[in-house]
Parts: sequence; C-alpha cells; structure tokens
Amino acid sequence: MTSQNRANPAGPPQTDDAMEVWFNTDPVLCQARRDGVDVWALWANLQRPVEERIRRHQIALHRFRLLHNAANQ
Amino acid sequence: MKTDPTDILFILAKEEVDFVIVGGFAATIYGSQQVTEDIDICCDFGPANLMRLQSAIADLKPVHRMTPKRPPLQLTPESAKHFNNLYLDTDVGQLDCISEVKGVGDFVRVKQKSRPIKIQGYSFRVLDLDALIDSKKAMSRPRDQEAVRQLETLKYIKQKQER
Repeated sequence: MTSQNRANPAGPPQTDDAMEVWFNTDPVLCQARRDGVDVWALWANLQRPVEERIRRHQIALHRFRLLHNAANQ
Repeated sequence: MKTDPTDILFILAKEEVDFVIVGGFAATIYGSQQVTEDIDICCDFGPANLMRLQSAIADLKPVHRMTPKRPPLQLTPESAKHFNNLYLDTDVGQLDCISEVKGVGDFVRVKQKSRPIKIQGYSFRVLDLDALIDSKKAMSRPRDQEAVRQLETLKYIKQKQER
C-alpha cells in the first residue's frame, strides 16, 4: 500500500473503472447529478491547468454570443 | 484592438492595481462550467488604486454602464473617494469593480480570503473556494444557486482526490 492509502484506505479511485463506480455510487455526486450538475465535466476541468479552463470558457462564451446575436437578428 | 475580456486582468496586473478576482470568472478558474460575460473584481477603493485602475484601462475606453448615457470613466483623486462600486463597460467587455463581497466582507477581508494564482506568467489573487461559495450563497439568485452546486461538487471531488 502506498503511504497515501495507509493514511486513508478508502483513498481516491486508482483506476478508470473504479473512478466510474465511484462517480455512479457516491451519494454526494449522485445528488449533484440529480440537481443537474455535469459531474464528469467538472472532473475533466479539474484535470486541466487553469489556462486551459479559461481557454475553454472563452470558446463557450464566444459560442454563446454568436447564438445570442443570431437569435436577435 | 484586444478582443479577449481576460486581457483586462493582464492589464490591471501589469499596472499593479490591487484587486482580487471574484464572481463568475473566479468560478471558471476553479473549474465551473458556467459561462460569464463579465469580469468581476474586488479592489481597493482608495483614490490611488482607483486612479491606477483608470490609467490601466484608459485605452479600452471605459464607460459607466449602469446608466443610459454611459458617461466615460473620468475619475479624479477627489471624485474617486465617493465611489463604492464601478460598473464599467470597455472595448473588450464588462468590468465590475466592487469594494466588498457580500457574504465575505470588505476588500481587506476578501484579500485575506484569497489565494495567489498564476495565469500566463502573470500573478493574480483569486477569492478562495470556500469564500467564493459563501459569496454565491449570499447572493441567492438562481444562477448563483447553480454556481454553488457546481463549486461544492468541485470542492468535494478535489478533497476526495487529494486524500
């Protein structure tokens, strides 16, 4: 066992399969999904550096503005 | 002409304006999926810092946006003493400058509850995640409630991953 697992045997999921099980069974995450939160998208964002989070946000903002302008024509 | 609203932040940092990133853009930094059109900052509303801010964004033609006449931003050291908030529109987007954050406190408190962050080599301060959640809870608009859900989920996943 790693020192991290010794400190917390429950530890974070170590494999993709385990991660999927955790996301689908953890009660907090299940409630978040019922509330409409895209937990997979948030998890993906947590793996990205801040600059990449901002870059993707700017792309989404640009898309939002294009659609908004199109709707207002 | 710069077209990215985030350029405002780099301009302010270069001119050593004292501010903390708050609001929707802070949420983006933490990984939120919500899209925000404006940049919200909490800053020192002392005249010297406001004059530095005005000087920094002068080329972006800032105007007061919450009035139909949209007058240009024209602070003096004397008139700057009378502002608690500045809601501005610029050539690259909206910049809302507030002197305190509901649910957190004044700028001194906000700065205490902030953490350093580097974006493209520039140093900034951003409201820490717990304080950001508190500020969103204090606002209680529907979009803020959505922000709270996302930020609390991000905090939860992060805590689990860091164990």
